[in-house]
Amino acid sequence: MNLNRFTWNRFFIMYRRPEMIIRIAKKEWKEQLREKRFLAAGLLMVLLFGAALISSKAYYEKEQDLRLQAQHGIEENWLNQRDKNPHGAAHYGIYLFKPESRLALVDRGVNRYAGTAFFVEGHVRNEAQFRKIEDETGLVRFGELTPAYILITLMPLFIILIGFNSFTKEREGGTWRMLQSHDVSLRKLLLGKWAGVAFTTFMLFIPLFILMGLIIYNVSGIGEFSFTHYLILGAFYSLYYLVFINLTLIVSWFSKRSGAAFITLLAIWIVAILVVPKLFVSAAQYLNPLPDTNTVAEMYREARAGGIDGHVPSSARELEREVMEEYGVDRLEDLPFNFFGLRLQVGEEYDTKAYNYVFGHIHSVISDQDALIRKGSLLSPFLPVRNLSMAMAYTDVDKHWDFSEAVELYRQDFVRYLNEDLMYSSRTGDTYLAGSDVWAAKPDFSYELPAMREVLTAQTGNLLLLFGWVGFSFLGLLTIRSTSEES
Amino acid sequence: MLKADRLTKRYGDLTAVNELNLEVKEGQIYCLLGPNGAGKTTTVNLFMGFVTPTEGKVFINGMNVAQNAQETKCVLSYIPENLALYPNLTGLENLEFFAGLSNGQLADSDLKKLLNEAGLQQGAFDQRVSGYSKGMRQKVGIAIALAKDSKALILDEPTSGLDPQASNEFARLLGILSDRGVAILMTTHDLFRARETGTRIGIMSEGVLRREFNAKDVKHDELEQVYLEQVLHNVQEA
Repeated sequence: MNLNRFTWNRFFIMYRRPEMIIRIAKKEWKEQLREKRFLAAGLLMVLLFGAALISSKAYYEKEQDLRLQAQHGIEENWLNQRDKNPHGAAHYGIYLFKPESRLALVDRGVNRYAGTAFFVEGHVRNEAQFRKIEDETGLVRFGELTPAYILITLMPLFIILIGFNSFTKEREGGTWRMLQSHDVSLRKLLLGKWAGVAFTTFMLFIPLFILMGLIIYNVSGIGEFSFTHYLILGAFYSLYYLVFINLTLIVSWFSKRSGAAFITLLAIWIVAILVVPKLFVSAAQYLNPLPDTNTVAEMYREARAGGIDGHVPSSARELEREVMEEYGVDRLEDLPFNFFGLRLQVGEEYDTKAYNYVFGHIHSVISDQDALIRKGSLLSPFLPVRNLSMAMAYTDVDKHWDFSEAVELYRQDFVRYLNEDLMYSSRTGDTYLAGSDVWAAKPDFSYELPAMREVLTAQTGNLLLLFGWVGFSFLGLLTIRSTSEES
Repeated sequence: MLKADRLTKRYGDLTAVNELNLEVKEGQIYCLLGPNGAGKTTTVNLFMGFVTPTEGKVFINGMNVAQNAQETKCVLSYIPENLALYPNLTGLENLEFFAGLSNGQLADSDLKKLLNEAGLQQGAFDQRVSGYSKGMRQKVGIAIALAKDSKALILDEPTSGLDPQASNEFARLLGILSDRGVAILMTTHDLFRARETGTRIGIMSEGVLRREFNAKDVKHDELEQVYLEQVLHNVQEA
């Protein structure tokens, strides 16, 4: 075996004998198939994936069902509410539910923690409610069993398990000398081994991914199944696996013993998947802490200070003067609209400004945290793929925030509609009662999940990091060359 | 076919092989005798290109191993003391794999024929190698050499640990290869086997080739005496 002639240039040269690479890959595959640890690990992966898929499907369907029922009930309640002052109806409020993509079945992302329903009412911009985590025990902190958890967290372990001894077993078993005595270059041997591990990995991943696609396609619920979207998600997972395949082979080459290779790879897995993400999340929370409830309330109070309170007439004396002057009247009763409605609307706009300031600050803290966590991606390929997975499933923080902003815009329309009804359907005071025709004509809420192009554009950073990891790991394979004549 | 020209290998202060001149012609079986540490295995490693010589050259089929490492592997087969095969593959699959590395795909019937020729029992063809005895593994090694259609075969103490019957069988196989014109270089401790099997015998100690004989011209007693003299010389030196 020519151990000293391996160069990057040759790595890409068209092989004179690609069948040799295929032969080595087939041998690797055959050996793996006959090893109990491979069969046990493969079976365990299939069982865990099956369990995750079944539980995710059940969760998703139940969630969709509850959501449809709730949305329907809320809509009915709104339409059937008794006659009341429109501002009273603004306080009565409605709920809006965050729409889910079918891919939420793969990756639930932050939904469990961030909540899925927003209460829309006058004066207040509420955060999402019905956080699933509130109903669960602390055990869920150990990680949810979702298909994404299996594919992102456990699959690298499977790759390590099948590939850690790719080279060390040849040295330990003595077959290295046999290979050296044949006309097989290190480049071909490496490619053959790479193909063997990759083949095994994708022989497990592809059927599972297809099965999951079929289940998602057939699941009853809202939203279309986008084949392209799903394929792109699969491509991200595949790129991530390439990183681990490459790392596994690099470590196996540089380790003297299989045990050492396994321990090293296990340490890499722990650092990349458990330590780095937690470390950077903790650092982000420590360096850029989110304001607590009291601080948020204080910030709101400060931002709101000096503004008009729609419920407090004394806070709107100047507005009264300006409006009466503009309309050339001496009394509020002579205005062509109900001043009370206007006062509520102006007060609402002050509320909105204050909330925009507070939520803008919160968003900026989250962005700073996100930027710091992204730095951790330089140490772990897990972070970019996790972010991409959540983004493709529309369950990441960005989508949550996007929906929250859409709800807020709707809330402003909704409250304005009711205030304007009060303004133009009555002349004075708050005794006017609106009826079902007003409730039925409220603005409709419509929200479209961002298009895939938008999602990918927003994820450019994570995409570059993932591609960087793939490139870096392939460059790492270049370091595989004979360093010792005894190797 | 196999030639060492002033071949020297040093590891720091230790000279494992010192100015070795040796030639194995086509059809010749050269048995390299010597005590432990004589430099036999280093010589084999130099021929195989596993280690690079400090000085001198190794030629296989006229090609300098240092300059044509890859090309020389095409005409050369190797059987170490403990032939390592893939334990989870059958004998047939191991042969298919290693033969494939050299000669491309061979038909199943051809592979079986080779195993048969190497003396492996038919019932063992499809058994996993993990259950093979050393003799059975050596037979697969011979089958690999046959499949490769090698012009030269290098064996590093292939019969150590084999029972007399297996050893005889192995010697018979080497004879067949020799008759086909294969140049064979074999290291061994077994004087009897060297004389019975070899066409030429060399005695090595301290990295130096001390004596060479034509196997048919030397009696066992004489060979034993020379060998012991060398071993004794080594012991006294030590």
